[in-house]
Amino acid sequence: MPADAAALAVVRTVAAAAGARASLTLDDLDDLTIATEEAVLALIGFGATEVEVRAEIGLARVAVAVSCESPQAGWPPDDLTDGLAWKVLTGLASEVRLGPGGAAPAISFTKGRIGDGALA
Amino acid sequence: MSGPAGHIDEQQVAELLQRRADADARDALVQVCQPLAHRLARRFRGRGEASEDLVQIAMVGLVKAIDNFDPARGRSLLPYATAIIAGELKHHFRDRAAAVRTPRRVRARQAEVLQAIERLSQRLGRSPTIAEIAGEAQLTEEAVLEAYTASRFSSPASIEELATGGAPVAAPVHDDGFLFVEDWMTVAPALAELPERERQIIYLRFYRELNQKQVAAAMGLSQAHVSRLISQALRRLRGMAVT
Repeated sequence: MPADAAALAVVRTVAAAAGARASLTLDDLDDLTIATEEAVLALIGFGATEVEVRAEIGLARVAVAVSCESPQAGWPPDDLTDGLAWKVLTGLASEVRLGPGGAAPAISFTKGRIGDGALA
Repeated sequence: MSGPAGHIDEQQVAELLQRRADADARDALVQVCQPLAHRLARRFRGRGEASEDLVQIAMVGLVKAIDNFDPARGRSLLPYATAIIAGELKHHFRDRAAAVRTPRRVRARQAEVLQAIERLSQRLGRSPTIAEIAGEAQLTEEAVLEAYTASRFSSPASIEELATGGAPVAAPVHDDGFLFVEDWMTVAPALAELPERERQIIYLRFYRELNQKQVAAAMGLSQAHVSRLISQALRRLRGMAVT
């Protein structure tokens, strides 16, 4: 999707819908949408003009795996994991990683129901 | 304003944390970690609560996190504080039926959904899932999700409305490094405070993405004048949007 403010609203809504299907509680849904927003903002803030966001629901339907990537040259910046966005991500989500995505480097994380384990 | 790449010196945090029994060190730690509280407060904007109130709530969470943090549990302070601050903000919104701008149809449903959330939270001892709320309120999951997203993600006043009252346009991706989308959303309310001419210029330059020459032509001003007005408006916006 194009990297703009309107897309951010779509991303939030999609993340919330995926979280609802994964039976996340409202508190976890909030964490999921904030974490997704932080990941997308980290891409947009770097100047990405296009962002790919993928949300997968765990087989046990208790967690969502989110991956946000950008083909932007120079992405990711070296200091990404030192930034505040990364701290927020690691505070709200699990398995936060920066690594290869589908076609470009991606920020990925999971959000599950607290106490229900990770992705099936 | 703090940008998307905001930073907190973790070494300084660790050093202050060791001395947090000392009131000065604790205060300094709160200061150093303050950007985290501000950032999380920003994530909860657009839900019908004033920004400064959100920051206050986030700061309460930060202080709680600093006071209750146990280094022996092996986690560093910042992720722990993030969870506590977000929890404080979520708790605030759960306790309060936000009066936000939503379609009337959704607003009526929100009342039912909020009541169901309250009953379920008491019964379950945790926040409920969308499916549980749907069952309780006898609504479809889609209807509950719609009401939930409307109450949670009501956008700040539309920037086009503020600038022109005109038709929606695509939001800017960046603007010569001055403002990113997040900052643009941050300054949207501040935009309304700008003098009319500066508001129009900012709108044309950064929202319609016209270059300075095109803006000058559209406004009937010299390019140098437009350049000065842009600098002036950005200074004002920065001043108003700093959190």
